[in-house]
Amino acid sequence: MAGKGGTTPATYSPSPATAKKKPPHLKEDWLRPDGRGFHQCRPAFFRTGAVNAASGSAYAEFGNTKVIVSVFGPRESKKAMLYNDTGRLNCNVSLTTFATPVRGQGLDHKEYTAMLHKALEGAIIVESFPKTTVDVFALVLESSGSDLPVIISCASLALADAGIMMYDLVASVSVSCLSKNLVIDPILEEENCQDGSLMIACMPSRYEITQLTVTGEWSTPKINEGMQLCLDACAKLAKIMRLCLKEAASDSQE
Amino acid sequence: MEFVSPEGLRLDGRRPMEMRQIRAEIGAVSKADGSAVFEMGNTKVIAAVYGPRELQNRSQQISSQALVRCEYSMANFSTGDRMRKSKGDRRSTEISLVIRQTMEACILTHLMPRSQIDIYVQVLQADGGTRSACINAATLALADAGIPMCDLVTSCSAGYLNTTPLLDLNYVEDSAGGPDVTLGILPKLDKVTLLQMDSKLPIDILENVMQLAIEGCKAIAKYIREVLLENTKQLEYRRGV
Amino acid sequence: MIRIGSLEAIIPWNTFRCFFLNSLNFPFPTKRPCRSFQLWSRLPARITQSLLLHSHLGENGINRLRDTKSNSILALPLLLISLIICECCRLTQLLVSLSHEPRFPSPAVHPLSRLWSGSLPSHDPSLPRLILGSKVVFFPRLTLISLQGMVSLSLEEKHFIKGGIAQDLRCDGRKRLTCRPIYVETEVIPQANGSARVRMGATDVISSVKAELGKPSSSHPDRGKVFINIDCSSTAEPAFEGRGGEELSAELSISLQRCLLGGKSGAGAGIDLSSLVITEGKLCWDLYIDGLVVSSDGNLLDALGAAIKAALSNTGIPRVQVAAGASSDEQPEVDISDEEFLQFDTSGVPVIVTLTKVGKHYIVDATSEEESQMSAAVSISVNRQGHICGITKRGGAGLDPSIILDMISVAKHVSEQLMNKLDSEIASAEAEEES
Repeated sequence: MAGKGGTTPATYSPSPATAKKKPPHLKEDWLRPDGRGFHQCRPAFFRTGAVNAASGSAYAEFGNTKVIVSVFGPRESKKAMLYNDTGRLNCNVSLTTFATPVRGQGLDHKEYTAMLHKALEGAIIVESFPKTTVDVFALVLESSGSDLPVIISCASLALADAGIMMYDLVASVSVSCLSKNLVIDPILEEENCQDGSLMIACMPSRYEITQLTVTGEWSTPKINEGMQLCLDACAKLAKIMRLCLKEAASDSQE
Repeated sequence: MEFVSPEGLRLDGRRPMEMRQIRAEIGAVSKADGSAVFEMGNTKVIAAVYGPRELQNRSQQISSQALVRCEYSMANFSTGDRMRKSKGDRRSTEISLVIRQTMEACILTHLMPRSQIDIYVQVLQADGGTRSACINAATLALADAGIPMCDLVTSCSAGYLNTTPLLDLNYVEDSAGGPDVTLGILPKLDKVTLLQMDSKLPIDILENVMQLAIEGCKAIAKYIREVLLENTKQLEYRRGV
Repeated sequence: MIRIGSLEAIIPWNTFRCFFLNSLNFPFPTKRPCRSFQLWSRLPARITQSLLLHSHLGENGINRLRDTKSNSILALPLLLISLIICECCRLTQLLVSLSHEPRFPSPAVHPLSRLWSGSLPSHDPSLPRLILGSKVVFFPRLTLISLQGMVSLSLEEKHFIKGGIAQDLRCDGRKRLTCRPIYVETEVIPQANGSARVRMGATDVISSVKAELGKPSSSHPDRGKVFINIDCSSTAEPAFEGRGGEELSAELSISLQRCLLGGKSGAGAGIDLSSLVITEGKLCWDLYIDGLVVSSDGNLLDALGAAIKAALSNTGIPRVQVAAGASSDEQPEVDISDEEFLQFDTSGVPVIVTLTKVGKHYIVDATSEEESQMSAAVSISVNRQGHICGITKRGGAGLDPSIILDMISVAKHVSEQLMNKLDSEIASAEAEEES
């Protein structure tokens, strides 16, 4: 039963039949499909400089979730825009047609776009590039759960790679609530049957939350627990991100 | 389909020459310079006027008169079947244009050169005659905003079904496919500023139908005037004049 | 108000501003800080002669121009001109106070500098006036409002708002955690299954619920579907014209979905989706919840949340009889009752409380002026059990986790009051409708 993700049915079966089965996570001895502990993140992989044409870019891989973010600019703001003595941030998140299990249209993801913008705008020192715009384009190559946190973390890495001034790196992690358990960094199957989710984007060194969303019903102690879990994971994630940046810097010096 | 029963009653129980109940209220949107709600039976629209103010887009500036702009939009829940529309489809663009032209004819635009007046009409419920209701609401909102006008424009529709001229068509009568005349007049000056007709109608009957619509417009004008007067009295009272 | 013989005029500020300043090439008394009617001499004599002035111009623009004899609305340029003379004392004071603002150090660096023309009076170039073309004089504050289509306050007003909040006394006399009065009106859209209009101060929203028969999604055959869609009418704000309101509409829709629909498994949803199923896997109710922002003065999300709650408790879903004996492959035949309606259970629908952080403190039910000063806002939806059903954060500034936890406990407290107030308002609105 643990390998729900691995054993795809060989023949097509209408979904009502499969959905009748009791959701696996309600069982006592439930294990996560990929064998992780409840509070264990997927191995994170970051690499900067994935896109040559961009002023900064980063590639992130969390399990099967693969995201590439490129940052262009700062460039001149459009003439039509009103004068602004701070910089502007322009974000766009899109999915490839093959990113989701069901073939999608590869459309722009408006919700993620708005969330990415909000998560990043608090971290960037917009005063450092007046009258100009920075474009952040995120492309989800493969969507396999916790997409938005991966996009946010990857985007902040790409911004750092582009040399945009920031107060701190933004690391982001989500937890899912499955009946009684809190599982961190959920994969797609877990997200599909979650009772609630909590996502935090934060600046670990400043210990400030830039974006927070909660869905589903939560009691206060549970929110506390979820937030603490996320914040700890964010701190660890930021270390990995920092390491990746250092590596890239030392590579270029050689 | 029978739209007028042998007893001379219409589907909603009105007489052919009878208008639906009208109700108007000034000041629905407190942030706007002028606003009004206008109801004709089940049709209900809100109009808000912003301006006269500086031009948003300087290239549109007219140095001799004010620029009048209008946007018409329908709420998702305004019709019986829920519809998913995008702003700026062809129908609303056309109605926006009709309202704009009608209102422009009565606003003394030459008094406010190099400025802009925005009229926004939002349909909350549509049950036939939205065009007329929008124009009436816009008139009230303009008056509420204190924009100089040469007269109050009022509008009313009339149709011709089952060889009977009918005043103020509702949605069922409107969608019957018969002739439908929408008329806008300047009641004091006795001038027609808007005349639209779908389908066809013999000329002598058109005269009758138009006359009916004019009567309707005048009745509405009378009501609008009363509402404005009442509102002015209220304002005066509040200021202790 | 102005009288000339039988003529009376009450004219809003905007109208004469544009009209008058345009047509007269009005010379503002820049040397002397006013109170003198020195201007009079510059106006054509025939105007000044016949005026009997009586100024009653108050705070909010006054709204009528009419002839007492015929009661018709008319335009009388003379009246407009006389009125601005009445007003000029106040105007110049406004000008003088604005001129001290550090926001406009010199025309050259001001964002609107391209609008400044070279025809400024030579004696006082720092005076913040705006000259469009060669004639029109506008004030920066007013100009900013219409150029950006949003609240733009002078520095003094910003300090005033922030200082008030710090001292627990806001511009409208409320305390930090006091809401504006809520007015609820139900059954406003007869075509819908349920509808409500909610007003909080100058914020005015309408919400309607329409139920249509549909097919459950294949992944969740035991659940109905709910769609939430918010529209921002351009009547509320000229900036919402055309596609201008779409961004805000999308943001509001997503936040409301997050707050009302719960997690993917359906747990904790304010609306019980399984109650919408008629035949499992085949037939269910699709609820279309539409919101419309008619007038906006801040705190839209809370108002929309309240309107949706009121509309849902007003919603009657027709009872459906499914014809028995239909084979499992076909769509079952249904008979929708015209008379019997099932009331919707709304006890689980949460209320949304937005805490807006201004300076060091946070406030509930912010007006748009206050919102323009916010550093961050957290919208928390809380149900009757005191459980959190969704959180959305807006605004760029980062928040310390402890502040967020504190906000959550404050929101819980406020939500109880709000929930009770809303329930009693809904009950009285429904009682009124029945009587």
